Amino acid sequence: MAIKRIFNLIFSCALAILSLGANAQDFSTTMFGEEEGLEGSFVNDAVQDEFGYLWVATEVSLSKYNGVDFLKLDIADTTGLSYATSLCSGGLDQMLVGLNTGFVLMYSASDVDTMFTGDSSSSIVQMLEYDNLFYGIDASFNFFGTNDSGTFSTIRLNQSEEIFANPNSFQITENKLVVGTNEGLYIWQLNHSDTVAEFVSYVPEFEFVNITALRTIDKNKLLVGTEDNGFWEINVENETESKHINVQRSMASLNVSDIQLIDEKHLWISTKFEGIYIIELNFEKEVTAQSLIRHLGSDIIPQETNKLMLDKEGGIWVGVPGAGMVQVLVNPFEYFEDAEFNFGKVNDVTSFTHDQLLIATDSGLIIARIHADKDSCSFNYFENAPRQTFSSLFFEKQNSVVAATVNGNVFRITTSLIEKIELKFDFTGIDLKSIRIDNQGNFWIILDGLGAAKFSPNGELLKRYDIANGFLTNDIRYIFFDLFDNIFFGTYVGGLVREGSDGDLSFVSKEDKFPFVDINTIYQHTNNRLVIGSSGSGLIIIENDSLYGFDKKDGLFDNYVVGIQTDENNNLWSIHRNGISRIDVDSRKIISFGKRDGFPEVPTMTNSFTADDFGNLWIGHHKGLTWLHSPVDNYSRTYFPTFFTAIKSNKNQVENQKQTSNNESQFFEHDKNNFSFEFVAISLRYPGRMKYEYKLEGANGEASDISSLNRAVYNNLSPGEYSFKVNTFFNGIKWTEQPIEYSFEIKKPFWQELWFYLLQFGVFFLLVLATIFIGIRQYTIYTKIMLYITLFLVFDYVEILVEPYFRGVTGSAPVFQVLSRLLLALFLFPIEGYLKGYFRKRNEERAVTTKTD
Amino acid sequence: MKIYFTVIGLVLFSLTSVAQAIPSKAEGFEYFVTFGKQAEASWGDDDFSQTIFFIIPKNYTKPFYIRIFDPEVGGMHDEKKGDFNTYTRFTLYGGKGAHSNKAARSIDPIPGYNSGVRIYSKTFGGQPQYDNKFYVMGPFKPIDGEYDANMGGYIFKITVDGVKGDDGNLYNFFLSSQSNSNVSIDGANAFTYEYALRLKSDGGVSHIYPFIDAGLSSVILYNFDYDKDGEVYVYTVSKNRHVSAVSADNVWAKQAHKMTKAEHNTSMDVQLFNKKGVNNNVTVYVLNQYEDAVGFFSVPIGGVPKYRYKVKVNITQ
Repeated sequence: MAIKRIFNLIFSCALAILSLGANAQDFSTTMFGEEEGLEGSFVNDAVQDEFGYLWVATEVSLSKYNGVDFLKLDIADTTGLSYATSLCSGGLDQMLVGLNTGFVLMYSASDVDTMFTGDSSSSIVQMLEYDNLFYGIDASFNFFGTNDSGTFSTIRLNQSEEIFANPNSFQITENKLVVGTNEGLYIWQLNHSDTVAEFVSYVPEFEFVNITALRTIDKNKLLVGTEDNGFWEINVENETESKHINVQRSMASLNVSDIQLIDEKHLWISTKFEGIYIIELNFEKEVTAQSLIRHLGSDIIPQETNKLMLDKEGGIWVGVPGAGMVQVLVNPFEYFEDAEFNFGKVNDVTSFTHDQLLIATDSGLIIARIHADKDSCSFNYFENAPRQTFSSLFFEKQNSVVAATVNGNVFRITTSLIEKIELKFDFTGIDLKSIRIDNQGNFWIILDGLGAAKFSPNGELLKRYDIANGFLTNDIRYIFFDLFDNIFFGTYVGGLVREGSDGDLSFVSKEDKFPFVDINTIYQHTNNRLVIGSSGSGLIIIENDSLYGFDKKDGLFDNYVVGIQTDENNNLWSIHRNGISRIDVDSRKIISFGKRDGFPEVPTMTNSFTADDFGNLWIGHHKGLTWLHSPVDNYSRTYFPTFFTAIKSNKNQVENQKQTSNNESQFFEHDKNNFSFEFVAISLRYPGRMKYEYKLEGANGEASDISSLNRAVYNNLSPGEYSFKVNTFFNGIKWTEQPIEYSFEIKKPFWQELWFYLLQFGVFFLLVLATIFIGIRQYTIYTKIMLYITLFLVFDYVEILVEPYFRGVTGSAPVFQVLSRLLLALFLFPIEGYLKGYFRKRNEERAVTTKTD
Repeated sequence: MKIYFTVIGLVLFSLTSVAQAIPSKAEGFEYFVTFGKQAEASWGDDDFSQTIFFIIPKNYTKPFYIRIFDPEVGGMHDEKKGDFNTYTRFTLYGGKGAHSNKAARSIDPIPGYNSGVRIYSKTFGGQPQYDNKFYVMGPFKPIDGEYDANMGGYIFKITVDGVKGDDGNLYNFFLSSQSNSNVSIDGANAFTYEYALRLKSDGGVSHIYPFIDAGLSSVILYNFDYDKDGEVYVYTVSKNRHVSAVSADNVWAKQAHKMTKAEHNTSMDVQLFNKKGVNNNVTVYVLNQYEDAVGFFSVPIGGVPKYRYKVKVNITQ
């Protein structure tokens, strides 16, 4: 019998609304000030370079932060009074630094060059911006930029009348230079390579308004932050005529310090005294809509904030005047649990309406309402649903869910009624574990220990799936319908079973090279990938005809997979009992998150998860819910470039430290054979998780252990070719696709060169020849001495030559050295005797010949 | 090179200074007044510009704020002429020349009066959110000021200019270590060389406290547009209620006062009385015998001067 009730408001029921406000744990913050090594308390600017270093300019220092330490840099200045006011990354290995004196310096790995000196009127460089070229503006309204040859020159800003204002920021949109000042907004026409910019307009809406921030949205649209006039969106059309500007104002009372676009929809706004606001923008409408997602109050961050900077890992850096800066990380997980409510074990979770979830628990059916603006969630029992153990939920469509209790009651639940569905089956003594509905409206029920059953839309039993009907097991854990009308059964012990559209069953078993026999869950990902999660063997993906898998060795959090889900950005997530993994299937890279990332220490229930309309993942636990944040996508594939920070030969820095290919070795003299290598992959979010493995090829050495050690020293390298290679590991996963490599060659000393060996042999040969020649002519005492010397030299040379090889066999024991000398002597002794005899005989023959004559 | 203030004076300065409201409680009056540049000088502001100097002691390294009370023009306090149509610009300077430049120490906004490094500027029209409320300038770094060893700290300069309109902007300042409340900075002070102020209209007395340096033999006290609506008296350690000239409408009056040795390195108390119930804006400044402007301090150096009575004792037998 259908039970019909009209609900005016779901939440106007008798039970108390329990709002769980978002706590400060959804953001983690780290303060960086003097104690943490940052010199100075006013951050003028902060920028992350291509290597990952965070450059920070304060009123007293310029430094690079590598996630662990601040490395202070000298500002090349003879007065000692300069400080950095503005930073701009100019690409790999280049950072432009603007100073309070109007100078602009270029820092690279090896040098600091002065790029621009301004003139006598120059003052504080307010900002540098990169738009294919570099541009800057100083507090005296001197504007400058680089030309095609890369040199800076002044660009004169023509003015209709004197401008008293101070520029605070500027943006370049197509051919317009837009300058926000403390007294309004100015626009100039800026053509590439011109040295003069023509004045276009002063935007009347901003007369005397302090413009504190400008951000470009697209080619003609900018966001304008003001000091006490909220933030605006303006449209600067690309025409030479002035005053074609549409403005829209919002958040009128906001006192904006800076604006940072996090992604194409989300904005962070720092304010002078009110902390930070996170705004969601909808540009698709003609008039941009904005909604406040979150305000970071004093419980999370100091309320006086200025500069904002987004790093490559999704962290936000906020300047706090007088204190330094704060790193803000959005915690991926937020756990909701209400001890008072105590809804017991969560068996299933599903999306219900746009901002509501339904939760099947041991104590009943619960509705959770998401308060996106407050970042919180409130829970209520679903009125008129029986207080029974609900075991399963199935999302039919928006506002319609089918819910089943463990004792076989099935309901269709909408926002306006709850309707009982009768299944013609005796559930006495049988637990209903799961319910699904196929495209034809048939109900599919998993019975605990008794296989599965299929029912028609009107509740008639159509078919049983169990041992009696051909299954290998009655322990069916999951039923899945793919896009091609195949039905997959995930079982325990029986592996994967497929029922085709013709009703035939096929059993995919180990013999078919399918590795899993215990299956928890089945999911369809993009590109027709079928993803199967197991209990104990990780997960496997079937894509077309190929089969591949991921397990703990590949970085998966755990081999026990309780669920699989895709988020709004189409990332694949595997859910485990105490953690979660994000899998980039194409690159095979996995990032896992567990307890240390904030994942709650309560077990996750199998198949108890869902994704809401906002793209967040909700995961059911033993007695609560975890909300995996998605609006700020801080799981974008992060890239930690690995690079050498120092390569030294005999403690001297090697000039060219760029990674080389195998064909580009650097050469070193034989005595420059002591090397040290320092390398790093910088992560500002996970500084301690980087580990390295290195090896010196050519030295017959093994690869090092994987550790956090990022320095290697090699002394007394022999002449030869070498290649030092480093791989980086993050979270246990090899992160470098190719190792970074430094190839070099140590030249042989001249005495090891072939020509020197030949020369030696030549000399000895000549010596021997000379000895024989002289000995034949006259055999005197001097000839004997010469013979002894020649033989001694030969003996000594041979002995020195063979000794290393001999030592390699016998070691350094003196007895063996003496033995080797004795053997050599014994070898040479008969030669000496023979030569002496020969010389004597020849001399006697000559003497006889002479007498005869 | 002239030393603006003697060493003794500075010692006294350091002993007595506690930054507070400007104008201070000791000065007695509540508001400065700056008219828009289209105004008539006869309304009490001779040059539509005001310059105030702040000193941050060198041992104070934290950020500081300048809180401006009622900086906008409109609503409460301000003086309306027709409709409110006035804009007032507040500009903060530091760095080299902020005070050491001679033009900065002039009584008028002559070329160079805005010397130094411009740190911040804000222009106010009729912004109701600041009516009868504080606007907070800052935070600022002390090292951005002009360091003056004699003063023992960093000097900042605020110029207040009426850039447009003809209304009178009434406002005051607080030099604070906090952004959201008035918290004094130990050892800090404020001074200027000319005031355009709104005299107390409740019968109370307004004060200015020029510091009488050791080198001064006389000072000339100027006031403008007093409308003959009150009196001016001078008090020092040696002068007890000396009368000083009072100007009429839209004109200047001046009075010379000789300074004795006893008065050197002390402050002078110039008391400005106003007729009860009358809104009166006046401009005052003090020159020394060299016709250089004499600075007067928000917190009088050495304290408010007390006349030292000479007592003759006759011993009779």
